[in-house]
Amino acid sequence: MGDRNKKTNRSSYGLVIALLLILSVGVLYFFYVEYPTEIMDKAPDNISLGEEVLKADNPNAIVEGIHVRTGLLEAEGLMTVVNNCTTCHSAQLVTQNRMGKAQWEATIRWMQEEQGLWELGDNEEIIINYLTTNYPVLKKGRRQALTAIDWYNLEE
Amino acid sequence: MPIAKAIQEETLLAYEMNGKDIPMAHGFPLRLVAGGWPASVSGKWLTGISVRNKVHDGEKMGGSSYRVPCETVAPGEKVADENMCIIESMPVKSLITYPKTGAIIKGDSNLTIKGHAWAGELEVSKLEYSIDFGNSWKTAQLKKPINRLAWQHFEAKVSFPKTGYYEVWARATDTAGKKQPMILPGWNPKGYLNNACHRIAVKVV
Repeated sequence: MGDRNKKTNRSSYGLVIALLLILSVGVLYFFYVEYPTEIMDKAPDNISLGEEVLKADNPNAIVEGIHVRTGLLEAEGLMTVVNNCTTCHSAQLVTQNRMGKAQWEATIRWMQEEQGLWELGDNEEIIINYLTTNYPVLKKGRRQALTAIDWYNLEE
Repeated sequence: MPIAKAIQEETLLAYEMNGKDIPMAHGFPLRLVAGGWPASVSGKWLTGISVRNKVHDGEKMGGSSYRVPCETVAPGEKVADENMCIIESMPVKSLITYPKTGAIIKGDSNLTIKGHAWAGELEVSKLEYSIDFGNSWKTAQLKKPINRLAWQHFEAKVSFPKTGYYEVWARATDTAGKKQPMILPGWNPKGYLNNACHRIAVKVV
């Protein structure tokens, strides 16, 4: 590839980046300013803010397979979980519970009956699949071996 | 909380901690402190006190919150709300707070361990430690509580017979003779009342 081509490429990259920035500001405005009340009223769809659109300012940036803002694992159904669960509570409140399908269903019913959770529709299955696949019940037994010990020299 | 607990000498309406205003996170300007019971009865940021003729039925206090099955159940068993009982006095428990787990020490030195123990409404009568996964236990030095329901400090000088990997396990016994279990105690839906022995890893080189 010659110098000329490189130059053309660079300037078109610049144009694309500028367009993406404008687009991303618009997208952020839309979701953060216009959308919240609707989010509260009805279950949002699997919103993809377009990982390709933004990297730096993306509230849904993924780094090394982790959704940075919530700490959730990147996998099928991630954004459905982010949008329906972490609007009201932290993701840790979800992932500290390692539960099966039936227990998640019961917990979702409880949240719907007592805590103001909306109807999830088709998203319920997506959410439960995500949780039972990525945060499965751990077979811990009644006492685990100590792991990940941070060894250090102790002088007395 | 029941009236009997509310009128105990040690149940406080606290506005200071260590001579200073209570930090916001701990309930500024006024909070309840009901020692030996779950934190659900040590409410923070108090604005009033209600005397009621029924059990608390407010937000986040019903269902399985701060409750365990009245009868012991198999792990994972479904328990109806009406068969859940409110937790009152907490079970005996202790923690090794020194040294941090992962200490590597020289073979010819002793290791001083320190920690705290408590037993709900009761007192801790004995603190033992084991360096052989419960095969044998030695008694640590245990202080009396500074007042009823206060933490009790313990300390022991631990020696190891030879080099190798060890775990130091601490086990407290309360005045009713109950000891901390080495494994997780009875299952309950929310995972309350885990008073299994605390342990630290030690390597002797």
